[in-house]
Amino acid sequence: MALGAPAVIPKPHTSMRHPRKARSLSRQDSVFGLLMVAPVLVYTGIFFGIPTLLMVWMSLHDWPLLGDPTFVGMGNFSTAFADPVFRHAVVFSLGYALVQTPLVVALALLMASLVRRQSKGSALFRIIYLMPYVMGFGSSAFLWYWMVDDRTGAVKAVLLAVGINVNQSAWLSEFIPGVIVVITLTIWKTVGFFMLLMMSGMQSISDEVYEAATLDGANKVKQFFFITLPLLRPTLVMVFIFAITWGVLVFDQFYILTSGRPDNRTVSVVHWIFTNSFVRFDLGYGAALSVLVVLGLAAITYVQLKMLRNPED
Amino acid sequence: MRTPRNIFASISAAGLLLLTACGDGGDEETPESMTLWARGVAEDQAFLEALIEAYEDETGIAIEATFIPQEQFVQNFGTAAATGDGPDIALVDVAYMPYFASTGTLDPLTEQIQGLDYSEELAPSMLEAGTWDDEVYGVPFYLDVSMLYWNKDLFEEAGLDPEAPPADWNEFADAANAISDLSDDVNGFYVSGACGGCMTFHIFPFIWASGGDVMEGEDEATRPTLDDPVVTETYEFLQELWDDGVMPNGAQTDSGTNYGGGFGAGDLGMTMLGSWNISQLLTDEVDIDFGVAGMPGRNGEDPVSFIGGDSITVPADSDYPEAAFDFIEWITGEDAVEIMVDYNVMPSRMDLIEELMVPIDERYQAFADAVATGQTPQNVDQNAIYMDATSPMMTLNEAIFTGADIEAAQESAQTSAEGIAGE
Amino acid sequence: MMKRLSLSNVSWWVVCSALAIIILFPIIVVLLASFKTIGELNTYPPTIWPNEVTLRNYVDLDSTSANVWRSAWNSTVVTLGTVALSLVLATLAGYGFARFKFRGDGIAFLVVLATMMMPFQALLTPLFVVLQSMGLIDSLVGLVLIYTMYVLPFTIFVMRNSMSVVPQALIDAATVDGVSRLRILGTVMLPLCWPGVVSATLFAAFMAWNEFLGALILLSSQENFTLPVILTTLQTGRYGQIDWGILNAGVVVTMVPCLLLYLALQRYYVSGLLSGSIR
Repeated sequence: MALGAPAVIPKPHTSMRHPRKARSLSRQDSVFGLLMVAPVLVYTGIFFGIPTLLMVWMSLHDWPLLGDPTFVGMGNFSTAFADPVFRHAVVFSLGYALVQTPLVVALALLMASLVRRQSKGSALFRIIYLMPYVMGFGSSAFLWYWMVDDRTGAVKAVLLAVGINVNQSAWLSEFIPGVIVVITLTIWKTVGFFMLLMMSGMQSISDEVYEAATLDGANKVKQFFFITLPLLRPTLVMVFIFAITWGVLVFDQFYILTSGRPDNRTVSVVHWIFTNSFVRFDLGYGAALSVLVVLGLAAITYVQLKMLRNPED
Repeated sequence: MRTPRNIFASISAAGLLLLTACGDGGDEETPESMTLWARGVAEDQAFLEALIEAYEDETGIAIEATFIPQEQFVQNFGTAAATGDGPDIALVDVAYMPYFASTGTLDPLTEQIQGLDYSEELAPSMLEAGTWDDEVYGVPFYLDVSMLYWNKDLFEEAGLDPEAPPADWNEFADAANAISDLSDDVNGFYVSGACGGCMTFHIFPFIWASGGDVMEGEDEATRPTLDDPVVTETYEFLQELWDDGVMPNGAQTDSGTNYGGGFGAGDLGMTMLGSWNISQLLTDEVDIDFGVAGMPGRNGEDPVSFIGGDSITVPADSDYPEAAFDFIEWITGEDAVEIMVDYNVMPSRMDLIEELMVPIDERYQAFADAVATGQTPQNVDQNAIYMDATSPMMTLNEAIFTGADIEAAQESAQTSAEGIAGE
Repeated sequence: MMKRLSLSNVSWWVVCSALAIIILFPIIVVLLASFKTIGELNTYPPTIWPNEVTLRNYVDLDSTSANVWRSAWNSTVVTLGTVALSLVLATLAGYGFARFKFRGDGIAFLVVLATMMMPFQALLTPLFVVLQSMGLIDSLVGLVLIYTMYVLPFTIFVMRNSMSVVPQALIDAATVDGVSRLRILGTVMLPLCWPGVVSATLFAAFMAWNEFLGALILLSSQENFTLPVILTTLQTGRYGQIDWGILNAGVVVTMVPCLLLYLALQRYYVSGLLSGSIR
């Protein structure tokens, strides 16, 4: 249950395979192995299994913070389908993910091509480009909150220095400017991670392929489109799944920067779950929305895997 | 709405029967210490620490205070109360009194309050907001009363009578425009547009004084009325002020960080502030001459202030319910109020505001008058409907700045408010 | 030919440096701003370089109503707790998965990995109820338990991978010498797998230090707040103006430990990220 952070989406056909396990098959060994793994299995049962089942169970109830839950069947779900804020939040989160993803992927691809070669300079720039990634979204959002402030922020200072004086005071209250600020922040913070993934994907393409292409007279641009991109496909699949998933589950940045303004139009799905569960204390409804999000994301990921699957597979 | 003054009359009639049943007194041991939870941060509530110290000196009973940030208070207190881990005494933002009263989190205090000599002097609207199904669950403790503050220096500069606050909305708009026209750095009016709690405090008095309301009914039957025609007039009026450029740009996005809009700096003609703020303005650092008055209704009707603040309550799982009420009695008594006044905190006792605060600064008189006639909203969903960043009222507030059609915004706000109320 | 090469080399440096400046800009300006006086922070037009350097913003971090140093301590506790608990669990499980075969091991590993497909955000509502029933709401222990669950799949994956490449001959040699399986873990496996341990540690540490939503929900008294949550109280001071100096200093205190740790150990961090994501 990562996904808020670099999770592992294993490439289905390689990672599920056991690593070469050269070991004896004695009964003692197998008991010992189970003993080693048992704590994690119990732990996962308590903090993953139970909450997952509870999420489904709660979603069928009116579950207040104070007082007893009452069974409402699918009531929460029919409320959700009729809930205009939730419906808008779904469209908004998806739209945000769809706008944000190509931008960050394109930039990451460009940066990866720039710093993929082995050199001191490349190594230095790689380190720098990944720096924002280790900061949290929370603290980054507060940093940007100050940066875009109309009276005191650093963006203002820079714009004034180059002779541009725009009124920034409504940036975080209006839809387009607010979303642009959040997208810029998110790209700034995550582009290094995606660059890294792509770079390592690129490094696994052997130089001989390029040499052969050069001999055939293909220029750099052609090489990029006809060699790099196709061979990078597995990496791109993963990058897209990450970026889309993170986009759909966006919370911190919008919560801190726009708080849903204007008119609840920047309320993301997770923000709405948060509001219903922990502001309105309608935990059952929050759980129902969570169930819908889980199902929706699973469907999106499945479709992505299908669409981006290598034809030979 | 019930007239506040009649609460006790109606309650005594209904409650007399229960009198004997509820008196489980006598067998409780005197505690060495009790726990108390309050919202906010300790630094804002230094007066409370002083009170607690004085109480321990006098009675030998220690009070261990825990402060919980405003945003987390409901969840934390609610969770703790539900699992029996709650405090012996809790200070509850009156906005949440209906929620806690209706969920059985608190002990009813009806008879004990009736037994206080000064029960008639307690801020009536707050007492009522803490009343649920004819039981009173909280004793008003300190108040935050909304008022129109105006800068007399700027009034004079703009050719207005510095001693005469606006008598109706037309005068208000004229004054605000005249002051804004003085210079680019000066503005006529200010609201913290992106702060839900602030906006209820700023705006409800406009609506109430003009004969409207944002909710009707009481207890379980309370329902939102964001589609009230007076609400339309109020928002159209505020929208016009914004369009006239009377408010600075920052008003739209201020999530409470610039509450008061720098009134103390002298750049602002008028604003709605609470009684908390007068003490800040009375410090040496602030060098402006200002007045305080109630916000009149549209056509000059009498002002109706927003009475906010904290009620002091005994949670249902309190270990020492009787000692807790002794503490409540002490903390609303004269000795305690004198300490509060030293910290410029407005007590809930109308008699003592008059007696102790007005002599400090005559502007407190306006507050003293406002407490008796002011209102406190009573709604279990107050946060979800009127205050939270995603609440229907907040989307309505945005219409002030975006120029959206007010009636359309009201209609959609009302629909979602009814959805929340119906949950 | 030489000339063209160096020209493209120059443009490469220009493009890469420009990107680096853009990426470093926010970090640098907030560092600078955190040393400005409160007066300078509120003057218009804003400055980039401080006119006057002061430590006041840092000194005031504990005298403000929101005690940032206290939160830094909480964050440290939560981070160390998460790292410790997740490393113990992941090391054991990684060892079990990498070196032993038992009935259902494939399915067990699949289950552990499958937890990664579940968005953490969706589980917070039921997790709140689970912790509530354990009396662990508003408790740093509760937060450690949740964070550990969050990082476990990744850390197990990294540990399993690094342990499975240890040559079997080394283990056989130890076994022949009569060393127990558990001691082999300590004396043979861990000394060889420490890059994996470092990667897993960094991953868990960054996550626990930076996580916002879970802490926002599960902590409720200010004395327990972690750094990302305390910043919200700096953002919305109850009365009076926002103190940009303190907010910026708070941001710096939150980000600098991560940056330093990253710069010191970036090789392991990067290889961990890659092995976790790509393998």
